[in-house]
Amino acid sequence: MNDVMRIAVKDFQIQVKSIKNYVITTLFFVLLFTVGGLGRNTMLLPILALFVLYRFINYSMYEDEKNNTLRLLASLPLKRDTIVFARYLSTGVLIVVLSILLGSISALLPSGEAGSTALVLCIFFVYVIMISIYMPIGFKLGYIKAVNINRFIFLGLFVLLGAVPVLLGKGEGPQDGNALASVITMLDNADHVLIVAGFALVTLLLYIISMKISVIFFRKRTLF
Amino acid sequence: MFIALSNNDPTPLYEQIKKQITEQIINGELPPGYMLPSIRVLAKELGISVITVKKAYEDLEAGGYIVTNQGKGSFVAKAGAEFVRESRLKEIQQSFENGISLCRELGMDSEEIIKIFNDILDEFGP
Amino acid sequence: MSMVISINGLCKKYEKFSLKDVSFQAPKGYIMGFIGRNGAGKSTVIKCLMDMIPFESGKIELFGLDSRSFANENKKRIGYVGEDQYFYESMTAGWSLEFFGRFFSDWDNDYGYSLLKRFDIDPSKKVSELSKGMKVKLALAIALGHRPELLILDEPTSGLDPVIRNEILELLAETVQDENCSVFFSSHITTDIEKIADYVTVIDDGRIILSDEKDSIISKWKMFKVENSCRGEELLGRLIGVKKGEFGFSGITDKPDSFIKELNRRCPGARYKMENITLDDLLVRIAKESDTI
Repeated sequence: MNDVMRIAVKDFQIQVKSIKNYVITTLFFVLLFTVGGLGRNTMLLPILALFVLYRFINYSMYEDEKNNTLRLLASLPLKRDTIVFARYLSTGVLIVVLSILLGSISALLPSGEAGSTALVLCIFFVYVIMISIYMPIGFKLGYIKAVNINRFIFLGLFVLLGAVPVLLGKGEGPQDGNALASVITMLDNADHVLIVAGFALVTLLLYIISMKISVIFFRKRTLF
Repeated sequence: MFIALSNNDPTPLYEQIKKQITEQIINGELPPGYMLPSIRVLAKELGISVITVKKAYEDLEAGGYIVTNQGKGSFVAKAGAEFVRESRLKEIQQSFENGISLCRELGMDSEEIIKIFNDILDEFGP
Repeated sequence: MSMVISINGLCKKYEKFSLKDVSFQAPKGYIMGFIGRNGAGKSTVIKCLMDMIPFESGKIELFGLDSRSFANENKKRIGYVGEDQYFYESMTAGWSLEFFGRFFSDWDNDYGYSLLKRFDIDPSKKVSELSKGMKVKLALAIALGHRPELLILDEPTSGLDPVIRNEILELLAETVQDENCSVFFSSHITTDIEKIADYVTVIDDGRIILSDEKDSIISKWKMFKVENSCRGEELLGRLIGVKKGEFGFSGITDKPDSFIKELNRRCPGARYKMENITLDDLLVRIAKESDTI
């Protein structure tokens, strides 16, 4: 367990150097949304968080594979499972932290949709999906090959999230065939605790299945 | 103890070690009971293989110059002093044999040889 | 004598290269040098030892335990330094030391830092600022810091200047001061191995050519230089790695006495010279021999 923690913490420690990049990215997005006037800045935060997540996992994978550091890890008394588990742990922690931040910030904001718990949960779900697909691909193919495929996934989700305000904005209610809005309305009306529990379970399951797949892929992968 | 190995010397390294240790035992620099460095320490100091040093020590022990106690180390044999004496006696005998051979080649007989010997002995003093 | 490494019939196939029936043993408490030219298969064998790559057939035992079933148990007792040094470039030397070192249960942090000090590596320096030689020394500090029973080094000295190479060799000699510790290191710089190795294993084109005490090899094998008047095929066949020249031919053999007998029998009075060989000579002639086949 100690080993897992240390590797997971490492993923964060090596990012310190690129904090500069994160700050620049944040400013870029703030500019884009305010100047670009992409509607309300409701989705600014979730998209920013998505980008942070994307960069985090890319950088983690990159650092491991750029210098073939994975090879050094292979010479240690370390199971490959541990390496996978640690990556999922560090990324999972980041997802949770980002979601909590999102939730707290949007709870403080005056505007409507952003204050919806359900929306935050949906976004959290989106993050988990992205990671759950991204990671096995990364572990199977290695950073270099995976990064191109994963760019598509990221872009797709980026667009999806960006489109949410549009999807929500159009239409006045369920009769407009706006599925997303209706889902959110329904969720908002349902029992919060149950919903949250349900979400937690589903996302956790998804995450764990993804991890099992990654372990199988990584065990088989030839690092040399 | 002083050991210096030479790469230019055609004799194998373990022979060089044997020779140098033997010499120092004979001339008394390494007295009986003197504890030699352990095989591994000597190997490290000389920058050579452990097995090479081991071979030298084994040969020295077979020759009776040193004794190895398991766990304690290798020591110059007590009989070392005897060796010195015997070794020297051998050398002396050899020198005399050489001298006498040469005299005979010149055709000298025993009386003449003894005379030469006594003359030289007188030069050395009582 | 117990064997710390025992390889039997190791076979591994790559597309353009394969290990063919590799077998040899490394006795505990000694230094074994593993030599061969580039591409001979040294790294491949070592990676099989460390269970970093799979292999088709054969058995490898470290400390008497199977290298695959007990991979992690074995790795705890092994200090490994690979051909290239891989670290997280943006982190410091000290961080790297502790990060990788702590995966070993016997890790001695103070000892690790003392090694860094001895190697003159500033722990607060970033890995990206270290020279190649210092990176190798950092890797050594990590490998030695948990006081391993077996040091496996894959070409640790290539690309390093003679000063650092010498430091590393001294370090290896120090390691085997403890009779329980063994060293297995591969190199194509034969002069390093010639100095301190107790045993030498030679590999060429995926095959083990010989594995013996270094002193035996040096004393058994001789180089013969013979005048051309005696250049019959039969005689040439008794030498390995024959080089034919205008002013004579040369080759090596591990049966010098019988060669001299043959030589005198076929060409009585022919001029020749017999010399001691270096491991370099051995490697070059063996390579030459296999290239001509």
